[in-house]
Amino acid sequence: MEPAVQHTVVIWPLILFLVAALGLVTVMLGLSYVLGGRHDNRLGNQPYESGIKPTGSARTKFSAKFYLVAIIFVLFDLEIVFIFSWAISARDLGWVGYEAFLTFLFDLTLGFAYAWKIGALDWSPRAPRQLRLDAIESNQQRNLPSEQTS
Amino acid sequence: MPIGDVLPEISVLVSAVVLLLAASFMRQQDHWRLAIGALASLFAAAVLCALQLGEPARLTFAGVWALDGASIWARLLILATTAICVALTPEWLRSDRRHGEYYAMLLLAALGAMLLAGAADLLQLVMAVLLSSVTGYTLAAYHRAWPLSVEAGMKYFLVGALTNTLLMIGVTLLFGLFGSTDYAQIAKAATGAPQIMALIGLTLVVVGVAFKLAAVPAHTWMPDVSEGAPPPAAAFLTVAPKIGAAIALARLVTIFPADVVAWRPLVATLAVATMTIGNLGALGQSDVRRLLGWSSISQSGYALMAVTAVGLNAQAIPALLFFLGAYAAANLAAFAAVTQLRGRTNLADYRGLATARPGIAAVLVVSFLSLVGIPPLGGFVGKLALFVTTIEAGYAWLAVIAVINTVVSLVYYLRVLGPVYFGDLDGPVPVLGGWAQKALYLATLLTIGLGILAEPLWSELGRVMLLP
Repeated sequence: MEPAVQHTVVIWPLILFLVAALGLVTVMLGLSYVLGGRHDNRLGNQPYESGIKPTGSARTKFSAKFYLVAIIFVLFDLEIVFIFSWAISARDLGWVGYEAFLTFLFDLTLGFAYAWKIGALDWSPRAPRQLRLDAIESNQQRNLPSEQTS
Repeated sequence: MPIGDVLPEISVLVSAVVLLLAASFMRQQDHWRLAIGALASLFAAAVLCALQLGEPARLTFAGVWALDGASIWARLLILATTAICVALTPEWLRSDRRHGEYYAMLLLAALGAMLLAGAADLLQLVMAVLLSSVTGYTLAAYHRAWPLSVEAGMKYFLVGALTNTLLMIGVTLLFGLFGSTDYAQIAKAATGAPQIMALIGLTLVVVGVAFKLAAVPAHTWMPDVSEGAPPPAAAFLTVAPKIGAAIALARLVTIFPADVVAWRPLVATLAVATMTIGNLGALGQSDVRRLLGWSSISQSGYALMAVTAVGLNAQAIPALLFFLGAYAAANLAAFAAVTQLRGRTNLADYRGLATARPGIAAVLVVSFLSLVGIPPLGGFVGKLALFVTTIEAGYAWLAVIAVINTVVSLVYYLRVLGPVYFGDLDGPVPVLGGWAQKALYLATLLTIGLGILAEPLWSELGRVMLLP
């Protein structure tokens, strides 16, 4: 066995990959450095160069309910992949495979029960209907006088 | 499938799922009951684990799972550590909406650490590191409305993402070189001339495991986590993953003959860097929780000494296990004291603690002296065994550096103890409650007991094997 020879054979794609990866990054950063515009004046650094002054902070809190539902969707969607792969070979796997499949589904259901119970599937904050109606009504009353005067 | 060989792990996993579901169906005020459930399941797992001690050491599940003395003792240690951390929790999280889920997460984190201890296959190692990491991030950021906790979780996560990637690259390289991820197969294939690629691959894997061990170069998360994570979680994260990672590292490096991959200088260098940087970081700290984090890093450095000697000295693994046990007890006692003091962390706030709470002050003394290695505490026997092992393995210089580091470490431990006994008390010192107090005294008793009952334990550990 000649380790040295063997290594040169094994190693060159790796080196090529490394050079390509570094080269790509260098080219991308370098080109935007060379070609990109640059300015140093105070107005140019504002978010809106058109003259509108930004107010408040961009870092406000907002409800990101979407991401939870999206994560749960992706999780359960991916489980389908496993179910398909079982379904294709269900006949060959026999009853042992069927038991394993049922165990898998049971585990999934446990996760689903947990997600449901802690309210991860609730799209909106859970407020009683009457409370929401009251809020709408008081809002309307507050707006009424201004509408009449205008 | 030899299901019986992983019964402790299965019982921990099933308990975690049951606790999680129970937590979502119970009222928040009743969640403390789940702590009792967690303790019971940990006890059951420990019994199942102890039953395996009588069986002959072997590799199961087609060689990916090592069932030897090293992994069984390490898993028992992890289970005991987790039990003490569970006992620290109920009062700390009493008002937390996710109180019950914490126990499930803690059990899963313990499972990750246990898997680390038994991993005898590179992919099994990756899975264990990932399980242990992902649960660890969650535990560190458990107070998600508190910026420091979130910051700790984020830093932990960023370092973890990087090192986990390096780990995967290393595993890919080793798999490509030796054609197998199985430790026994790699050991068979790794013969002949020195291989630079194998050294690179192994270095990357070692970095990945060093992250769990909080060793250089992946140690930076430790001070932040120990400061920002809830103290019961910090107690767990500074101890349990380290026990698993130290055994995993020892098991990993020994499969390579020293003439193919020169891993001993690598691990020895990491040991020196870790203990020195940990101690230097702790010297200037005025925050007790951060100080404990840095001290925990330096203790990882001492543990790496034993890993350096694995294979040269039969006593290396027993010494490592004993040291880890003594470290676990002492560090848990320290964090239990912090928890019982409701997380007080500023060094100035510890002034005159001994007049208000003599019991907790005494616990701090015992714990810190054990971390330094003063007889008759557990830390003394652990460090003695480590130093003797390292010198007998021919790494006397490493032991000398460790002794110098130990002397330096005395400085910062005494910087905490000084104000506790000689400072003036200002203001009342509120404490947390009965659960934390029991955990506190249990950890202290273990610290003292490991020193006094060292002999029978040592002779029991002497028969421990490390596969493959």
